[in-house]
Amino acid sequence: MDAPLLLEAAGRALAHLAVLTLLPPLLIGLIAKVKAAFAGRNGPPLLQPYFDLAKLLRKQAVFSRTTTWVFRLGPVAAVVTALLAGLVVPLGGLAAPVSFDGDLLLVAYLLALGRFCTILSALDTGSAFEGMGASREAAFSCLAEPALFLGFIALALLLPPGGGLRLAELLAAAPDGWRLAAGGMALVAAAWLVVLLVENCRIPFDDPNTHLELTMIHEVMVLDHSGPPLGLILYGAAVKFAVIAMLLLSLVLPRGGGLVADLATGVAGLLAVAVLVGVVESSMARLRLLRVPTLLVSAALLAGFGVVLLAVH
Amino acid sequence: MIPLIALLAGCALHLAAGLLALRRAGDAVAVLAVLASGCLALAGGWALAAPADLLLQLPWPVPGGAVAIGVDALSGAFLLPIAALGAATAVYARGYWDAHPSGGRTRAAVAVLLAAMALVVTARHGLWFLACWEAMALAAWVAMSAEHREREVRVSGWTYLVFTHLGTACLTAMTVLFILRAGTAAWVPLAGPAHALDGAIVLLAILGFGAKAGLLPLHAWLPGAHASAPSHVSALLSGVMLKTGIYGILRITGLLPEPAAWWGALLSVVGAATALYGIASAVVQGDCKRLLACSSIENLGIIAMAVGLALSARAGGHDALALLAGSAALLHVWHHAVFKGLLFCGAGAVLHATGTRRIDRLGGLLAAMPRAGALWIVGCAAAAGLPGLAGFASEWPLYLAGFAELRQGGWAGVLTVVALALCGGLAVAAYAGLAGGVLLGNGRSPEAENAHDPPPSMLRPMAALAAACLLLPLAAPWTLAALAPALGVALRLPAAAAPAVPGIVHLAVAGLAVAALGAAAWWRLHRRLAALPQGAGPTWDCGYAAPSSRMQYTVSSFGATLGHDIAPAPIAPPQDIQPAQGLFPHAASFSSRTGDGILERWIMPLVGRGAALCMRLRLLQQGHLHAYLAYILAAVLVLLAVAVLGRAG
Repeated sequence: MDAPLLLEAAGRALAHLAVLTLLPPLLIGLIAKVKAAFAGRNGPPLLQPYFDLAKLLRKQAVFSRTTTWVFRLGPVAAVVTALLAGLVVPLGGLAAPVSFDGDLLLVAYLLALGRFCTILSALDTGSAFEGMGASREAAFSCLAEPALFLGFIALALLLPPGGGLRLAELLAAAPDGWRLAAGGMALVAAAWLVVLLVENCRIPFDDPNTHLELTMIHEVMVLDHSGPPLGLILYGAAVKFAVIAMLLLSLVLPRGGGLVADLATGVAGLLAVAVLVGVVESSMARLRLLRVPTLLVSAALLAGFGVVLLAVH
Repeated sequence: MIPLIALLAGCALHLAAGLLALRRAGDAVAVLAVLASGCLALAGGWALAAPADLLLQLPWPVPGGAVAIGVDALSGAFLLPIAALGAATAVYARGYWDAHPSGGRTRAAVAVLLAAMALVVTARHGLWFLACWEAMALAAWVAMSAEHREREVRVSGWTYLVFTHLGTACLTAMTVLFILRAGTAAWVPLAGPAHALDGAIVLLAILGFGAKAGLLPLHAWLPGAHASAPSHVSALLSGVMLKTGIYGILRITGLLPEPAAWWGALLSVVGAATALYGIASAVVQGDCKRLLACSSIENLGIIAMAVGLALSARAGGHDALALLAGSAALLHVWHHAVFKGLLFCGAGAVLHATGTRRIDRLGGLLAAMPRAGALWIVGCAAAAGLPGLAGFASEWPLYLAGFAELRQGGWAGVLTVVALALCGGLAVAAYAGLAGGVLLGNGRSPEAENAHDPPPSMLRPMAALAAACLLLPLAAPWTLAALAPALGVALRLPAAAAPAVPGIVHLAVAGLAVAALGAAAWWRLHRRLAALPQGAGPTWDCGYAAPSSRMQYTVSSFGATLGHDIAPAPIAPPQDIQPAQGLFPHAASFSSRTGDGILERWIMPLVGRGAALCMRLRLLQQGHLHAYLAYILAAVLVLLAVAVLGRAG
């Protein structure tokens, strides 16, 4: 590889890293802004999540006497797993810095590792509230797993048999998918949108703005975190949102432009996903808890139909 | 010759340890057992490193029988976990069970079990195999019935005996068919074209060995048996004895010339159903050892899926894919032995410290027993299939095999990938519930609050197994290569080259990256926290002022969302709950029990109906001697008539 190409690759990796680490809190701010706009309010500033993080890092942390080191492990794991998962997910034309055969499994399982640690962290407080949230998080995200993997399967069917299995190759096959079976791809994208909403605990599955309701999931798990650990949890959640959004975007984003064009479309795409989530949150109510599994199974079925449509082509 | 000698020495040492233990269980017995395991490990390791088909044949005065013992790579792949867990539990039992009244007897039974397992995976003659198989089954029954004065233990033991003998019946029929097919009971690979009997032999093998491996619907003995056995015995049962079922399936298919496509398809479907059913029942268990046993059902289902994928790929002529799926199966055999051994030993430590297996009476043990608790969390994370640990490292090649199969247009790959994904999510839920319920939060009973770390003789084997959970993923590139000759035997592939598993090195590096980045973030967070004022208080819990340990979320409530709201009714675990009745209940009590859906809703009614039918045979059984003599006369006359008519015809 000659020098300009190497430089280009390094630039792309750096741009990817910068988007992955710096942009996520902005997406959360943008969702809040969109929701405020729908409600006819001004809402907090776009950069409010950054201010929150800076403030939390300076705040005193209070730990329950019940807790052990497991409680402190949760926030660390949430951030580390989300960032590492992001390292293998490309953003449209911006290739991921790391790519190897079977890396798509690592994405799903790193997120599972983060979830395992945050669930343990919630159970470590000995609180009924947090246990309830942990139980729901475990139940719903495990039902979201088949939808994610059926999407992977649909894309894998587009690749010729016998090759490698990199996330980059898989997602690069998406344009072929739209050409061959646009219906199937649309179903996969819809299923992954559901995965995005449930994995990030968004309406209609969970309301990130409530704190004291019996129907909530993720927010109730982190009730006892404060100070820098809470900051880590919020940041990790934002990164996780960005990672799954990147996965979803790679299905639809155009690619193949220069570095600047790819970066611009990638960032614009992420912002568009944030706006979309804001619109969804403003326009529908949260589902009754017992209805959530039905919707998740439907999402898996949608992805399954997507697999069938792509398989017959 | 060395592997054979080492194998025989290992078995002899195990039996010597068993004899010694009948008199007095002491350090000497444990040392002998460890030495025996060392010999078995030497045999297994040598057979894998220098694959050769060594065969020892001795005459046996049973008609048509011969003692044939052979150590090849496939035997080696199964001897190594037998040796590893044998040694770990030998040390562990020193502090755990030897002081129990049944200590010596259990030691002896375990010694026979280990020797019999080593002979099972090296037997090369149908009748000799059946003899070893039966010895293994009975030794396991004695070992698991250590506390036979308790009704629950006896019931589990009987259930196990019924199922294992159903399995042995199938295997006996299989041996007969094999003799008809091959003309001899000796297990030598058959040449030539496929035979009409091959399908029947494999079907009987899947049934018979499936009963041992806990494949649906013959899994029903497993949770009870593992729960009521002493924990180190459970570790052996789950970690290695179930795997002899997988060994049997691989050995039999390795003897037959051409696999048919349906063998693999059947195993894939049964394996997927077993895996999903096992882990879904694990989520709702309230007994920590039953939970672990249900998770063993899941893992054996995963291994069966991998074997199924390998067999269908072999039948379809995709040799590389067959090697990949087969290596996933064998790697999972090893990795599951390690993490499940650790988890059962951890459950034993909890039982040792608190005297209860009920998760709803435990809690907060990580503070009371920090060492054992931390080791147990490692085991839980490994069993939940999380990256960087043993469980994920062996599920990962299976995922790759599933994707490769579906890209060739097969459906088994889709089934494998979706079942694995769902199992992964459910396993996270089950093990988070287990670790959270037992180790975290506040103690829910005085027993839990007064717990303590076990003695070093129990902690050290656990630490070794936990270290293996962390190191095996790093060693996976080499272990996969080492397992290749075993696959050559099982799949009858001449090219015993290492299966190409792209990315396995990257995966190991990714595990290291998680650890390194995590450690850095942990260190940074703690420096930050140290710079700030520290606060401590009760759990905030939205400002509730007087939280008590009984208000915590229990594991039964944790699993309720998944287990009872979502699971389909015909297989949902039946529950007995006696809540308080009426407006002003007197002295109410509450107890709940979670059973096995398939056993209680399907098998037991069937057995009941069968028993009712059999009662009608009582008409013949009147206890009069002359009636029995008349039966014998009638039987002889009928046989004579058949013989005469047969000759005339």
